[in-house]
Amino acid sequence: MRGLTPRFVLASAALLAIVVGGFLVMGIAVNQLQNSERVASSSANVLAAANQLEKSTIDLETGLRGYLLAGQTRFLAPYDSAIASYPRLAGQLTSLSAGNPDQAARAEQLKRSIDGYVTHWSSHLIGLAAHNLPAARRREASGQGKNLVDAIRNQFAAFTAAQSRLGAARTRHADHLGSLALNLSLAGMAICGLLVLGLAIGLRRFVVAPVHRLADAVSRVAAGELSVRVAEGGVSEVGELTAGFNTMVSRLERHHDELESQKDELEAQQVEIETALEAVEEEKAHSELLQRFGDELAAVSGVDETSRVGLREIGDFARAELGAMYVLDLNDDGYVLAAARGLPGSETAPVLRSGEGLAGRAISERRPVTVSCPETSLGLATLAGTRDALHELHVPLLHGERTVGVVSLGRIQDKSFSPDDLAVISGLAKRTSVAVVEALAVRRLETVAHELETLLSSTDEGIYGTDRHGVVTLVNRAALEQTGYTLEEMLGRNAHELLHHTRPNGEPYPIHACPVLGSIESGQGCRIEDEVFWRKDGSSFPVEYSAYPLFDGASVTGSVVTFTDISERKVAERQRDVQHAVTRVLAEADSTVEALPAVLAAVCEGMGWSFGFAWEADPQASELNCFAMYATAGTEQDARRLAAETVTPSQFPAGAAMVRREPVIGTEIETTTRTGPTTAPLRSAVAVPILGLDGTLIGVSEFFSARSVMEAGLTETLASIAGQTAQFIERKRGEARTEQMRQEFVATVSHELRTPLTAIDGWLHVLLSEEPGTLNADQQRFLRTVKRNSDRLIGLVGDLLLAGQIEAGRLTLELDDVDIAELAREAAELVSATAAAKDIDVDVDIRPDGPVVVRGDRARLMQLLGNLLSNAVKFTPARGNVSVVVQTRDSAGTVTVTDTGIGIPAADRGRLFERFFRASSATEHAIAGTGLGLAISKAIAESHGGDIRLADHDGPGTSFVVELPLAVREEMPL
Amino acid sequence: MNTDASPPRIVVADDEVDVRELVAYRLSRSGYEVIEAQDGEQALRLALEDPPDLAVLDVMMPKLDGYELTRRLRAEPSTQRVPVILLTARAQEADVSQGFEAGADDYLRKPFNPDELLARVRAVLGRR
Repeated sequence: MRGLTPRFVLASAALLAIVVGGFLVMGIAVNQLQNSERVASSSANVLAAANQLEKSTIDLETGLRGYLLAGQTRFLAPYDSAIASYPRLAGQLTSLSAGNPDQAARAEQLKRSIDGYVTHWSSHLIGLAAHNLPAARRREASGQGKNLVDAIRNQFAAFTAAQSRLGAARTRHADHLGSLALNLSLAGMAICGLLVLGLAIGLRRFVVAPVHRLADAVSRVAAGELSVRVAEGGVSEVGELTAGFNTMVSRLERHHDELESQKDELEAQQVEIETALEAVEEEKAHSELLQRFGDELAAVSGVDETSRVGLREIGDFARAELGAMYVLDLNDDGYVLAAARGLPGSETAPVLRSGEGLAGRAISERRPVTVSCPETSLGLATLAGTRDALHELHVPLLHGERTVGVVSLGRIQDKSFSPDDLAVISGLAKRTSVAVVEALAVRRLETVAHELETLLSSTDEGIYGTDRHGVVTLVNRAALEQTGYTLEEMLGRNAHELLHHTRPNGEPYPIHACPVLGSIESGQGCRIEDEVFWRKDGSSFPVEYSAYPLFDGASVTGSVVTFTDISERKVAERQRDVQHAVTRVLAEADSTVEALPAVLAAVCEGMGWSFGFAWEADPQASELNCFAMYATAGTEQDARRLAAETVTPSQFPAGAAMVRREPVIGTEIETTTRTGPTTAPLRSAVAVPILGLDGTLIGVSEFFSARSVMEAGLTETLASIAGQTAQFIERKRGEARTEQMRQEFVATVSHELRTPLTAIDGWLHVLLSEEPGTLNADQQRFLRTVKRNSDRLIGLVGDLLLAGQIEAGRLTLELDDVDIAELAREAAELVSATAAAKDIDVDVDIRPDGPVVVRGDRARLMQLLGNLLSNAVKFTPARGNVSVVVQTRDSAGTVTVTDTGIGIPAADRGRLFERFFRASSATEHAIAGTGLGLAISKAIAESHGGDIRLADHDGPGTSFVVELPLAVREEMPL
Repeated sequence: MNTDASPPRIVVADDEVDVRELVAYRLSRSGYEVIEAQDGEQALRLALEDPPDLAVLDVMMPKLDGYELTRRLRAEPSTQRVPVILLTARAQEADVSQGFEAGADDYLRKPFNPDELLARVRAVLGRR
């Protein structure tokens, strides 16, 4: 128990324990007291309940008796109410007595007794009185009822007496407890008072007195009395505190002595600092000189001015009467005289080379050179002549690795340059070097800028520069010329808003969509070829431009835009495109009727014109009539009106072009005179003659436009197109003539071949019919051979002519409803004789029930099936099979002809339907044929909207399938 | 068939004598009276002189071709109802329709089977 805190804690704990113990005992006593009182009050409640129950019992008895005496039911009221209330009161009493088993048993007994009185006596008696009142009165008078009630009353008296005894015992117990609690509390209070008094005395003695002494000592130390010590005493921490205080004060005393000695040292140091400050002042004066010198230099620009000021200031400082300054020549490796001081100009070398003389030595050696008379070289011009310098100093102007000049100084008076002078002059020279280098750089920049400007203004491309917001900062001559602005009008304005505000189609061009600004944003150059720039006068021109961002390090500071007016190129391109379109149209067109409107359309659409005509000249070339026309949307009405009229020579420009045989451009007045009032205003027209190879006028093409048609190369382009058109027309005319001749030739050949064949075949027929006379066996055989070959010849002629027709696209059909099932049977019938001769079985299989009707030319379809079947028989060796299958599939009918013949080599299948193509297998087997049959068959099938092809099938031989669209069944009207 | 005692008269016109003879042979052998003409004009004259019961005319004939001859016959009241069968050596279908437009009753392409010609003749005459 050494610490102060534990001691206090112990004392306090003891005190607390005593107080708590006292209060605990007091609390228990009070609690007991309260319990007793609670019991007493409950006892009073029990008695009250017992009284009430007793009163109800009396009500029962008196009510019954009153009724019997008076014989009137109203006297029964107390009885009835008691009957109603007594069970509740009895229950209440039982529950209140629950805490005491004896009393509870008594309450229970009471209830049973009252119940017995009511059940066995009163209710029985009331029932008897209702019909026999005197009998009831007699029973009542027997006194049996009164005995019952008396017994009950005795029970009540026993219950009440027991209850009262119980209540008195509890009250006594409570009184005892109350006085015990009072005594205990008085004793507790006395003990507490004693304990507090002891604690206070302890504190005074062991804590407060020593702390007081300590406080006294502290205030004395604070007053400077460092020798004070406190008597050590007091309990635990208080003792330690005084001991600590004494140690602390001794230490303080020691430190104070040390400080005193340090103070002396500091005073000595202060003297040194003051000396140093004086040196700083000197340094400051020097730097101020340099500063002022720098300011002087900064105030001037240009190499010469800088040199002059530099030399003047250095000379003034050095008190040198003479001086010269040479500066590096940018275009040479020498140094030129840039400034002189007090020197006669005529005697000063205008150019200095490294290593030349004293100054040259300073340059080559890159260090100051100091000399004194007689080695000096500078001289002062005076009225009396030249006075030479007695002392000279040459300081090179150094800048990094370079020597950019030299300063030469000379003193007339005999005062040499001291090391201090040299130091300061070197400093000034260094400053001068920097200024000279800057001046040289500026001179270099100016030269470059001048060259650039010359370059910019000499090019025909427009060039302008912008800052990063697109504001014009630079613009060249060509740009101004092309846009019509002046320099002042462009500089400082936003280039996009000035030149680029609207798209070619007239829609506004928002600045955020501008590629130039885009290139500034992205840092990527761009090249645009399909936009326009707007001139000051509101007109535009197609432009090709490039924008390149300007960088300062990594950030974009602006952009340079280079542009070229490409109007002429665009015009040429458009004309070339139109010409190509026309060439394409003419290459694709089959006829003049088809070609000319397309040519007109290509020109109108390509050139942006309203409408155009191809006029056809009459044989005398005296008037023109419309052959073809093309009108763009909205101009059709005007165009049709003009097309309906005949053009005479007096009408511009077509009539004039007809007469002059050269392109004619109509002015606005001529155009409107020609057209009269039009829906859409027209401003210009152009007409170009279409001339044949021999110079004859075929016609005139004429175009009308809502704007001027005039542009470079237009008439040449139109003349070229007219030339192409003329060639096309002449070629088509030639083709038509050729076609006509061909047809005539075919007709003639046909006639010339068939006529003799008719005679040969007809007479053979007559002979073979044996009408003129009977033939012997040989004659018959020979004539049949002739007949067979005649038939073949007839077939060949027919095929050739048909092939010619097909080639000319002139295969015509006599359309009818044809049942191809029936046709297949007939075709099979036709080859049956030949097949039978080779012992080939021809099998026809018609799958559908009804006819298979197609819309077609019966004879041609017969020819088709005949070809396939005769081929099948021809290419099938003896005892083979040929099958014909007719089917319908979807909306098509098919006929499949399959044989077991020699087949077709895979390599030949692709060319099978070509004219005059014969499969290698056919030629190898020496099977006769022209190679026309399949080509004709295919043409026939296709002209019917059908097809013929090789079918896939297993085994040897060949299978062809013909597919023809079924006739659309027309509903018969009823 | 004609119910008269005399056989039906047929004018056969073809400048090609070999073919004309073939037609004439076939028809006369079959009991018809054949009047031959070597060109269109002669055929027209013969027909107008004495209208025949039938005319078998070649299309390509000098002086007057088969189409024109048909039209002329149709234009004359006396020969208006004379049936005409055209023989054509041309291949084109257009020719056939041209023949029908001119008023021909039937046509036959050369070369033809003489029996078929006979059948057609009988058919055309039977229609009357």
